[in-house]
Amino acid sequence: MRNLKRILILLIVGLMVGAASVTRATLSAAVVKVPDPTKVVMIVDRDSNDIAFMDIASKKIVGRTFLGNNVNPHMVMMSPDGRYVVTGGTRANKAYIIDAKTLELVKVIPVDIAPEHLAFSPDSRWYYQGNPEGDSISVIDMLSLTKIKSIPGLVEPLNTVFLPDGSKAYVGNYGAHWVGVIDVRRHELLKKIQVADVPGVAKLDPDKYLGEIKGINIPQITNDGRYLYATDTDLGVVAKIDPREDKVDKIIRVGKEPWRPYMSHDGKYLITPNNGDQTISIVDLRTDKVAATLEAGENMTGVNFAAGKAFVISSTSGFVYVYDMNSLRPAGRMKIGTNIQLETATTDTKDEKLYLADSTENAVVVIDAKTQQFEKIMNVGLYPWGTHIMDSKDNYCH
Amino acid sequence: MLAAAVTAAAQDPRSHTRLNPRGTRVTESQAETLTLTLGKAEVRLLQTWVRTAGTIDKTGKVLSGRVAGPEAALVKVGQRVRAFPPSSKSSMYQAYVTRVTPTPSGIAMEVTLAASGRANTTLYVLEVVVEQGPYLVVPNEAIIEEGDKHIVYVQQDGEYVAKEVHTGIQGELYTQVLEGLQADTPVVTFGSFFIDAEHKLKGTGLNQ
Repeated sequence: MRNLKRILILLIVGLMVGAASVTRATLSAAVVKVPDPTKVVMIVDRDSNDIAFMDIASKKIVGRTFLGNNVNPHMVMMSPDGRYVVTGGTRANKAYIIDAKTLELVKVIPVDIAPEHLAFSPDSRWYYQGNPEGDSISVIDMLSLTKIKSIPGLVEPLNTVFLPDGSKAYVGNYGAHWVGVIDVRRHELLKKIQVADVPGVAKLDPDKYLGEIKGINIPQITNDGRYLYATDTDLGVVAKIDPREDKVDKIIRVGKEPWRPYMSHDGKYLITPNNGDQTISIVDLRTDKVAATLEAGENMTGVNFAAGKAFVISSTSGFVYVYDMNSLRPAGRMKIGTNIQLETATTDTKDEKLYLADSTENAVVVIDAKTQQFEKIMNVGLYPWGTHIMDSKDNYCH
Repeated sequence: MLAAAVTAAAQDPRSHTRLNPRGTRVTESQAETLTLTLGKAEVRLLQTWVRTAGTIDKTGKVLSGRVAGPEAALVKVGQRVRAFPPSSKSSMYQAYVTRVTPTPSGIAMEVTLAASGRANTTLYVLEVVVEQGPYLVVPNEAIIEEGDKHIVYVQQDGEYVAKEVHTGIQGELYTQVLEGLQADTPVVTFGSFFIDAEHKLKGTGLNQ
């Protein structure tokens, strides 16, 4: 009788433990919304204040992380190790850290004024959040998920690029004509690299040069990590910077008001969209000379590369201009819509499709690079501002 | 007489003047100067990146590589790989492990790139991202090696106290803790070296 009682108790306990394990397993499975972070497109929805996650294969939204009212996220990025998704809330002056698998908002960190663009160190350790209105970069430690430092002394820092070894970072100051060099070990501004001579005031057009400065958007790194190329919008030049000496090696004149450089995936060329004269300049990186200057559209916000072509987004015209990167000739233009506003795009890791944010239609436009056909995925969120795919070679913002 | 001499020689003349503190006190301003950062011992996914070299085939999409030693057992089909030629180290190619074949010294593997690789480049660095599973971990830099011992500094009642831990797998950013810490214990990460130096200035004893 006593033995029977023991067996019964053991059975009940066993059943309870088993049931608990099943529940736990079911719960863990339920909370993982993105099992493979490489298989989703992240969409920054500026006005619905969220990050939407769209499955690349099914083109369905599989999850959404709401950040809070009046946050206005600007740019989204996944850490290279695939653990976290981060964004800066421009109106909230905060950085947001999201678990890449469960899509839970795990930390909100106050930063400086109007955070916009951001970058990760190659080892995923440091998240540099640029604050253009605060003239600073907030340094966030991704191990403790805390802000450990603020790097002051910058002027409207727009974009940061890390060297492949993570030792230094280079900051484009849109409100100045110099690139800031950051020592990543100490998170301190080491040096200011003036990209070109600023003409004397007497020679200038006062309306243009005594107004707001439009300087450097980003010092873009070459594929081999050997040089950086930075455009200066006011000066109309591209400066080639040698990071070994932190000096300007060469200056290349391009079209009027170049926005920023975009590197082709094969590393042969860079393209600057020149909004001052509605052209693009294609610079040959072997000779550091302009290989072609081609007509383009108005208000260009980005360039993507896929299927041997370059796709240049003309934000307010509703067109995407296409160029053959072998012949360096125009290859037509795609009309995405009328009275719409296009923002920026990312390219998939197969170099086959582009995912373009169409803010006024609350859509993402999926462009097949080979056929130049496209499909609009509607209702992705309010005012999609940008897109991001892990490991894409075209992850940028505007 | 001899015994007394040995005892005297064994004594550290400075030891009686040193304090033997229970912990090291660091003020808020000192902590800020040191950019002292606290993390937590917690259960997290531990990643190890297995690195090897690979050569690309004629299709320009499939890489072959070998892994020897204990790391070979970690490589499985379906794992994400970061691939890049040494001449293109700032432009990474996404890839996956598509075949694993045992060899006498370890494994041979095939890795397939998502897109075509870089033109005229045959050699690649392969970083296989191995997710080892959830373990109790602390950040790598929280651990200070002292001979055979592994020390972390934990925060207790506003003080920083050295604790010896027994460690397991060391990942890219985190190290598994087998013994010595409980989950949610605050540990010093960035700045632990300075705490350790301060601790050694005042006293050498571990407080456990």
